[in-house]
Amino acid sequence: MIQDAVFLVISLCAVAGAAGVVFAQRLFHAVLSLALCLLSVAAIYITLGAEFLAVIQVLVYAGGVVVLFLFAVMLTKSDLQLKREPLDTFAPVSAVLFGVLVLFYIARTGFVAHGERGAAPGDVASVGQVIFSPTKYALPFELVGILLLAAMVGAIYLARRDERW
Amino acid sequence: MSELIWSIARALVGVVAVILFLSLNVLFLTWLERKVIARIHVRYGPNRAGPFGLLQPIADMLKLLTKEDIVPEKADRLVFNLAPVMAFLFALLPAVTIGIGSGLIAADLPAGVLYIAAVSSLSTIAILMAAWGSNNKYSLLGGMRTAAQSLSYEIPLVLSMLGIVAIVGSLSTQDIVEAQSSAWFGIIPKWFIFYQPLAFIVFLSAVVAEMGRIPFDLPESESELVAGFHTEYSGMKFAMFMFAEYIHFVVGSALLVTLFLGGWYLPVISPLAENLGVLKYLVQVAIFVAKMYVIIFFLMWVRGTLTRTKVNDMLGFGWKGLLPLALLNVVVTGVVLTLR
Repeated sequence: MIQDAVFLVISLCAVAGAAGVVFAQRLFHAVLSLALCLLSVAAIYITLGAEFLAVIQVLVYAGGVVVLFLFAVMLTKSDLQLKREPLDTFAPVSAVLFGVLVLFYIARTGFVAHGERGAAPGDVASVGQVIFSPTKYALPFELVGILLLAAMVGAIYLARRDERW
Repeated sequence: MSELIWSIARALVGVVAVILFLSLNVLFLTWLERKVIARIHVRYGPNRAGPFGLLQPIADMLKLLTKEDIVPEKADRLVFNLAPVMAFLFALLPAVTIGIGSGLIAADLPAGVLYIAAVSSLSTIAILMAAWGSNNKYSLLGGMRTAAQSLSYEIPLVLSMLGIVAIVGSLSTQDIVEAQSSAWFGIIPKWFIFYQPLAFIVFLSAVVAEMGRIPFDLPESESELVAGFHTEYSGMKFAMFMFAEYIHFVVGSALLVTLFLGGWYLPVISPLAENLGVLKYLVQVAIFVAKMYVIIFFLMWVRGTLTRTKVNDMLGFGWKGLLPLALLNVVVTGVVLTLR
C-alpha cells in the first residue's frame, strides 16, 4: 500500500520532469527538468532494491551528463528562447504509435510497481560478483572497457588542435 | 507495519541528528575560521559579541535574516529562488552516510562511499542554477568555473578512494573505519594514511577543490568575479549558500577522517574506552570530532598561507598532476593486493 503510494509520487515526479523537458520554453529549464526526471528514476531503482544502479544513475546522469549539458547551455547564447514550431502531421501519429507499442509491452510483461526487496539482488556486492566472475560477464566487461578507451583516444585525437606533441 | 514505522522513526531521528550536528559545527566554524585567519593576519578577529566573540555567529545570522531580500529584475525568478534551497539540500545529502561512532550513523548504506561521490556531484547543479538564474556575467563566469572544476576534480577524488575500497573490500563507511581499528604494537594505528599516502595527498587536494576553498576557490574569487555565483544573492538566500559551503567543509573533513585517519579510533584510548559501556560512544564522538577539527584547522591554515591559483594552472594540476597519480595509486594497490 505504502509502496504503491511512494511509487505513484516518484513516478509522477519523473513524468513531470519528462514533460518539462519537452514543453520548457527555455533550454536551461529543459535541462533542469531532465535532472528531476533522472533523479526520480534513480529513486524508483531504490524502491526496487537496485541500489547500485540508483547510485550509478545519480553519479553518471545527474552528476555528469546534466552538469555537462548545463555547462554547454551556458556556453551558448545566454538567453536562448526556443520557438514553438507548428507540429507537422507525422509527430502526433508517431507519438501515438509509440505509446501503443509501449502499452502493448507493459501489458505483456506483467508490470509490477515494486519488487520484493532482495528478489532481484541489486546491491553492490552481488553486482560485483556477476560482473567480475569469469563465467558470467568478465569478458564482455573488459571488452566494453577497451571499446570506451578506444573511443576516448579517438575523441582526444579529433579534438587536438595542432600536430605538435 | 510497526517495523515500517520503526524504520521511518529511525530515519527521521538520523536526519535530525545529522542536521543538528552540522548546524552546530557550521556555527562554530564561522567563528573559528575568522579567529584563526585573524591570528594568522596578526589581528584580533571578532571579539565584541560574547566572550572571545563566541556569539558572533548568532549576531551574523540575525543580521542576515533581517536583511532585505533582493531579486534582480532580469533574473530567472524560479531558478534564482530555487538555487539556494537546492544548494543546502544537496550539501546535506552526503552527510547521512558518515558515521561519527560505531553505529552512530544516519544510514549505513552498502554503497556508502560510492553514494557520497554520486550525491556530492549534485551540488554543482545548484551552483549552476544560481549562476544562470542571476543573469549576471560574474555569476555566469563563476558558475562555469565551478562546472569545470568539479568535473575535473571529481575523477581523481573517486579514483583515490578506490585503493581503500579495494583493501577493505566494502564500500560502507562503517566497514572502512572498522578495518582501521587496530594498531601495530598497540601504539601505531593502522590508518589508511600509512597504507595509502599518495591517495591521501590526491584526495586532500581534490576535496579542497570540491569544497571550493583557497587555493582552489576560483568559483568565487573576489578579486576578479566580485563573489562568483552568489554575487546577486543577499540576506537569507546568501546565508543558505554560506551554510552549504561550510557544510561541505565539515563533510569533506569528516570524510577525510573516516577514510584516512581511522574515524573514531585512537590507538591507546579506544581499547580502554571499550569497557565504559554507553560512555564509549561519547569517547568515539569526541575522538572523531577532535580529528575533524585537526583537518579543519589545517585547511584554515592553508587558507591563511597560500594564494589563489590561476584557472589554467588549476585545471592543469587536476588533469596532469592528480589524475595520473590517482591512477598510479590504483594500479600499485591492485598489484600489491594480488601478490599478497
